[in-house]
Amino acid sequence: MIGLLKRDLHLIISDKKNRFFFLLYIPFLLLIVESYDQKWPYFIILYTYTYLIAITPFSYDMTYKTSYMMSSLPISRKEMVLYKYLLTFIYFVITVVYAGVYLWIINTLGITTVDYFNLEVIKAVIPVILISISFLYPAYFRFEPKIAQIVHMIIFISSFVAMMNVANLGENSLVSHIKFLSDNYILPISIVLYILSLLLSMKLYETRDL
Amino acid sequence: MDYILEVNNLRKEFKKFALKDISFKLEPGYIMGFIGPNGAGKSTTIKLIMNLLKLDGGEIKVFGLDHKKHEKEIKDRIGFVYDENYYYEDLTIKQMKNIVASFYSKWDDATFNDYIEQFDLDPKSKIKTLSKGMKMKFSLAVALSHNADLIIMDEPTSGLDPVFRREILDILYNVIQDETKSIFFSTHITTDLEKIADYITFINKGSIVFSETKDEVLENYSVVKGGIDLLDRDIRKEFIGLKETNVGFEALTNNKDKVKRLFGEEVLIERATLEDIMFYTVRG
Amino acid sequence: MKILISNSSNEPIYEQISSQIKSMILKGELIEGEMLPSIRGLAKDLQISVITTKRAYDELEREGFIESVQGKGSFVASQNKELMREMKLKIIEEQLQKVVKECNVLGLSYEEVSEMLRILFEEV
Repeated sequence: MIGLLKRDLHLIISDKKNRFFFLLYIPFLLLIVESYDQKWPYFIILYTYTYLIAITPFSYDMTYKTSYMMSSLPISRKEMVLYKYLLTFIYFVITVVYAGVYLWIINTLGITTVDYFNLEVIKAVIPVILISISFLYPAYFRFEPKIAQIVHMIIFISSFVAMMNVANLGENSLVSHIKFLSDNYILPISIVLYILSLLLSMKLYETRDL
Repeated sequence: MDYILEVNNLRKEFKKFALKDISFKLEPGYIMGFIGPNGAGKSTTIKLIMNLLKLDGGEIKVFGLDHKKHEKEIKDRIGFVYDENYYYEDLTIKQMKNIVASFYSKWDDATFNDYIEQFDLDPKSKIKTLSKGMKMKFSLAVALSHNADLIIMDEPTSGLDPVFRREILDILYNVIQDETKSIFFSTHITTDLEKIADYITFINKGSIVFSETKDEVLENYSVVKGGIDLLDRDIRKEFIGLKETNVGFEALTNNKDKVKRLFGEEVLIERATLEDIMFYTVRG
Repeated sequence: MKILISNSSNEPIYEQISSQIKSMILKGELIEGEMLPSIRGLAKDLQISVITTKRAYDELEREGFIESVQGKGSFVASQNKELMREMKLKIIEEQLQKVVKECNVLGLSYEEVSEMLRILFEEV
């Protein structure tokens, strides 16, 4: 698993485009999300960063056919899938820390007031991430990267648009949405969905011809 | 372990191509050359061995173990070099090495650094700045730096200059000094194999033509040259492959004695090279 | 130790190796108990297949010229003095046959040839 994590982090950090994007995305989001509630920008940031860290390595496999090389290393198909699913949590922790520090700086410098750590939001965003990835990963493990990219676009754009719309609806519905999401039932359901997705991906990837 | 690599009745079907009944065996301590024209099925066979493709029939055993059930254990002991070296181009050699090294249980950094130095590669250079030859050298350095017992190479020398190809052969000879290690090497540059290979497996159109010791192959096949007037329909059938020109014919036979009896002094009989064998067998 | 392989010769490579080693042993250039290169080392130096060098060594062992010890290597066997003498005599006989043939072509008589021989023996 360490090997995969190293790979994912190296890929994100080494590419200038990625560095650029990951650095400027937070201010960009803060500009376009106009919400009275500080929680939403934070929510969207956590979601987007985790999601993008998760899928970036997949796009490299498309360009460079590196899946041939990775699959020739001593790692089974099942393990590759399992580790990828487990790594999502690590990406999330990285995102929380990174966003926390970044937003704290923004807060302290007085640029604008944002939440830089909110347990309620964290609990609310996890199920959304898990559900998105539950649909996303099987696509990458089964289909050609080009097709999987389309699935990714659909999921990402629709969830982004949905979140943005909700963010702009006003105070009361925001509160109720976050409350809904951090409600006790959603998290276990999303975890079950995640595990099912994991089993599906394993099955799909194991029998796939590269 | 009797065989380090054992392939039995492999079958793989695609829309326009199929591998049929592929079988061969390689013992520890030897080099097997895998030859065949482009599209014959060499890369497909190697991909099946490495489990990049799923087989439709047959079995593959590496180190005596089933290649699917013990995939991880097997790959830990295999060093691979492919014709296109698929690496993350934005990473440096060092970064790529660090990633790959964390997968192998017996990674040897000192050996890797020795090879990098010997190959004159800069660990800080990005992979996208490397030429094809340099990428291949990097691949080879990685393949030889985790105490692998089986080196599998898919057309590693195509596109490389002869000087460098000789260097690679030297390195392979060194590997083979250890009689527990083997090398499986697919190529269509047969001159490389003529020296170093112990066994030759020849594949054409998805089927194995032969799998024998190189010495036997070179002893059995001969090129026959003579005048066109000597040919008739029956005689044509005697040969494996035939080429007719304005000044005579050239053909391949695996039965030197019969040809001698048929023609005596009227033809020239010479040793066939692997290239001759491949050319005439494919051409017919 | 010197072994040279000709790629263009009709003689199979393993035979070239075994006859050159045989000749070195007969001439005394390789002495009893001396270790030969390993089959793999030899294959590497000559840039040929290990199977070829193994075949050469197997033949030499079959004919009693060398002995192989598992795990140690191959050594020049203690030569049967009688056998060696016989083989050397055979080589001399073959060479003398060639000389006689040449003499016939030239038309030399036995007396002329034995005179030449006497002078040569005296010079040694």
